[in-house]
Amino acid sequence: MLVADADAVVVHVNEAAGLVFPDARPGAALAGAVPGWLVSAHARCTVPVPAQRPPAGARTVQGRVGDRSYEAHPTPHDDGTVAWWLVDDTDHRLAREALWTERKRTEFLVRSSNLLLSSLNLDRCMDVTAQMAADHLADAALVIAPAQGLLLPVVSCVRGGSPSVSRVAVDPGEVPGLAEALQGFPPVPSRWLDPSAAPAWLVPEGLVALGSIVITPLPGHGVPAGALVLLRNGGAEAFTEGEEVFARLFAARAGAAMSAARLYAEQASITDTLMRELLPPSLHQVCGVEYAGGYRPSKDHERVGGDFYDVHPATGEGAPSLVVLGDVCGKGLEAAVMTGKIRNTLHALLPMADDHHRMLSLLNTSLLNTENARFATMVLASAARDGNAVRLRLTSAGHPAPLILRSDGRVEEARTKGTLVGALPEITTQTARVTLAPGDTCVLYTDGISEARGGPMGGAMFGEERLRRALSQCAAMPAEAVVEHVQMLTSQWVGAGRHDDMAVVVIAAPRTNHLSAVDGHTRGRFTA
Amino acid sequence: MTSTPSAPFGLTYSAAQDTVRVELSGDLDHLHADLLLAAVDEVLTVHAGLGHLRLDCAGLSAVDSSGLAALLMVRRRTGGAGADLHLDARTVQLDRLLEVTGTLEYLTAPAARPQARRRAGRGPARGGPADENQSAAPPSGVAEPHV
Repeated sequence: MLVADADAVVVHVNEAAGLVFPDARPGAALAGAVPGWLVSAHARCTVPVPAQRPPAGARTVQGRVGDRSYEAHPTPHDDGTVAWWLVDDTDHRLAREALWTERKRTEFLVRSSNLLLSSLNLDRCMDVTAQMAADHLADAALVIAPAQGLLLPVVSCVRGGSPSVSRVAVDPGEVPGLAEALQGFPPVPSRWLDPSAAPAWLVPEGLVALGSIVITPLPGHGVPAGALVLLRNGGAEAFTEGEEVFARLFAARAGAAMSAARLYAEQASITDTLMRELLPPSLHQVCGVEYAGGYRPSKDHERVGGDFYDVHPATGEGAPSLVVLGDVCGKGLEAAVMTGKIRNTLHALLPMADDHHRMLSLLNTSLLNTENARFATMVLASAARDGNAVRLRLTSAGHPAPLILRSDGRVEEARTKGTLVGALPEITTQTARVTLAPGDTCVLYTDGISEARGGPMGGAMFGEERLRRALSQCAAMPAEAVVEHVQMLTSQWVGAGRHDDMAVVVIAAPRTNHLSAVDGHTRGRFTA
Repeated sequence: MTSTPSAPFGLTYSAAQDTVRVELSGDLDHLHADLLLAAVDEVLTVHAGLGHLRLDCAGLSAVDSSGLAALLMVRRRTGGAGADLHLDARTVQLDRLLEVTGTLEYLTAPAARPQARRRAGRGPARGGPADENQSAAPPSGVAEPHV
């Protein structure tokens, strides 16, 4: 406690106040003994303000004394003196400031998490990380991803700027700590770097004088996500321990987001590669027989489906071409792998395509395994032109039998049946021989078509009956039109609902009067 | 191959003498196929020397390709353990699926003489009984000039 009179002269100082203000002794001028903020507060307090109590100036003030801060509560007395009660609020203030900083940081972390996790795009994650770090943690920031070949992808950003992407051909080993941080394992602490040791590529343009550099690893989900480099100007304060810890918290979030994006990108690229390989071929007229195919993959999250079809053109004049349409049990990567295996095996077995049963038996043996009973169902169709007609051999292996659409609208089911392949030790098959007259078509389809659920009530199955009726409307249509008609009807049927893969292949004997439009492979004597 | 959300799959057991009866209900699809197989494995472990495994299919609402694969695996396991598999009260859809895929005969064929097989020292670990359902394929051309 310190008492001073209206003339700003110290009247009384207690022991505690004496320790804070060593120069304040009774009789000394206030101005020389206490800091300016208290002198001016005292002056405001002692201005005589009549008819107003308490005086407007008699309010608590705050200020620093040395490296601590105090609150001073005035108590004016009637004799014009003012007693100042001093309270040390240093710790209180520090706690408040720390709380404020923590709140800011939490807010920043939440915001960065939201920004980072809303994207599964790796480039975007790197941009966001660099920009947020430059704006909130340092004067400039670099995000360095693990090397792709010889190039190091780097995104740099200075405060207030926009991120710039580059690929630099440098050895991460020349920056101390960077190679370890990029490896991701074992975890290394963030590392201080001597600014003079930093290579030029590490310092983004726009940074005046380099003050301090910290390299923090970006920890990923078991895969190295990269490193975060924070740079500060020479004039700015160096990184405190707290800031470094905070940078690591940020790095953990950024690293998680970046590795998730990287894993996603890898998966997407695998799926794309598989998809490219598995996509059905575009069909056309081969050796005087018309082919058309349509495939609508399931929109479920596993993008690679289990349906497939192939047309293997005849090797010579008059020899049959082989059409395969099938459906692999299950979905996703395993189904995709099995589909690839089946297509390759059948391709290799083409020389024995005149014996469907043998071909399917060999395929069955090659697919059998003890771990699971993953199977496939399929239809083989060998088609050869014979005069104006097309001779077909059709063999179903556990698959819905092909439908034959005659040019007058009749729909018949090919009398073929057999066991599925890949699960049973032995298979049985029964091959049907069918002749297509000009204008007749043969429709191979997967159960994604016949079992499509939808319709007016939503849950009804499209069904074979409806498919037959739909086909009978397609009499004498060209193969492609039949495919499109079936696809259109089933798409309408399922509407926006979920559906399985839907594949359909049509083999047609061209109508003789259309033959003038066929390709050059057709022999002239057909164009009667 | 359902496109509607699958109904919950359920299993209920009852055992009598050398027969275990399992009632199936709901959808036997890719989400639930593993449940069936795990349950059958457990049954075969608990009831060593089981003679008959009867799956009551009356309550099955849908069976997709994964469900069929699970049934085929069940047949392999029961065959390996020398037990007969019975698919009771099959729904029309299940019958149709087994008919089209040509698996009905295989699934319900008796497990070939377990005692004889045991005496012959054949391990139960074979992928499936190869000595049954040997319906040799008909010559590939069952001549049908016009269907």
